[in-house]
Amino acid sequence: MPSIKEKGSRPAKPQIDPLRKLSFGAINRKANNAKTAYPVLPDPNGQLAIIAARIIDRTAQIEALDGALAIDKSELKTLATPFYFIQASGKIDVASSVSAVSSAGEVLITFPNRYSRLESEAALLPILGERTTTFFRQAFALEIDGDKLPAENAQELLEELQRLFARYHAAEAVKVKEGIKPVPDFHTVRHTALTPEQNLALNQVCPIIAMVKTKGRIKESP
Amino acid sequence: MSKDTLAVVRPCTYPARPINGGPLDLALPKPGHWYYEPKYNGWRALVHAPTGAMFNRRGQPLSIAGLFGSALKHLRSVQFVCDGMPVEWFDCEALSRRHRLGQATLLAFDYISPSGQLLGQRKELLTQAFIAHDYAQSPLPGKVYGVRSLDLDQTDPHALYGELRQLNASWRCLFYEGLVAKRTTDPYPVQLRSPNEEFVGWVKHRWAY
Repeated sequence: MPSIKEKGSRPAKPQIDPLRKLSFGAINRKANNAKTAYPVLPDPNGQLAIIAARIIDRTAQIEALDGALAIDKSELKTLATPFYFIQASGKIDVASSVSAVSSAGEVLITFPNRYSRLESEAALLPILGERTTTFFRQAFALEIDGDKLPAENAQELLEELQRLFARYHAAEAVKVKEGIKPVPDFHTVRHTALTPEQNLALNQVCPIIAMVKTKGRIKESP
Repeated sequence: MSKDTLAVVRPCTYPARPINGGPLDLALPKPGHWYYEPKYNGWRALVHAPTGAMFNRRGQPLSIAGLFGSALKHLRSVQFVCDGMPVEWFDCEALSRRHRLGQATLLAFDYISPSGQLLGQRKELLTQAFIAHDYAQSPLPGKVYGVRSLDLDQTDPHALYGELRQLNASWRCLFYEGLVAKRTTDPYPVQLRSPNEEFVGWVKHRWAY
């Protein structure tokens, strides 16, 4: 039977404390999550407490309602999007919204010319293939990451860069933000150039920023 | 994690950010099919399993990553394949400092599916790959657990919500923050536009709001 050698206890190494920190012994340490105590308003008849409780209660109610409203709007957009592409297919002049009707009034789902920026064209290629460049383009802005510049030449480099851009009256333009965006007329051209199925597939990777509107569409109570 | 590795590995997405649904007892019914799972009180971490690189919810290297060596080693050793493609990114809650339970443990509640699987499918695979955390038990330190989802058809979220609150009281810490509801029909919302972009398919219901 193989013998198991127990590790002997090593002599404790002297603790290195390069910061030479002070020891506070038995003094209570402030908990990391301790809340700051602020001066409390005098409230002799309990009126402030009632208002404070009401604010807390109503904030919770608003948060719950906001959450429920966001889910309903998202659901409506998801359900409306296939219909939007089907009814717009082949048309040059496309309605900007579709409508959901109820006894309480009408809700509009609006599809403006607004799209999320993409990091790369990779997800577009399987859908659009060679036509990707027809509908999408690189969008960029320039910005300088100061942390990456050599510290000893940073000032000189920045000044030279500013002089260069200033020479072309473009000093404000030095920023970098890169991405893939649809071409300007993509929003109108997509309905004639692509099928509803292609548009739906594209919408999965480059979603249209749809909005749900009720303003002016709610029936007045009798 | 070396600086060289972090220079090479970049997060493939910002972690999905749930919308705020307020306290569960005030929440209105949600359309569609939803799962519920405990909301753990830890640090959000997007973990790249092959390298052990960890990123916070803003896509920056997680400053406490060094504490998770044991859990990361386990994560790296798991062969996790979906639709024939290896899964590299896990969405986790990293337990450290906020309470004393399950220190240096990773709770993997999702992964970035290379084939765009829906949540229902992702959860099924996740619980096959890892030991599922039993929410009634405190997790062991330095481990990796999968986070199970509870189907609304089988579980009353209000009962679970109350149970988690009682567990906090008996463990004397804020181990759970509430519940997260997740729509089962959504793929993981991969996006690098903004860390603040909220995802409507995930809704958090917390006690403290």
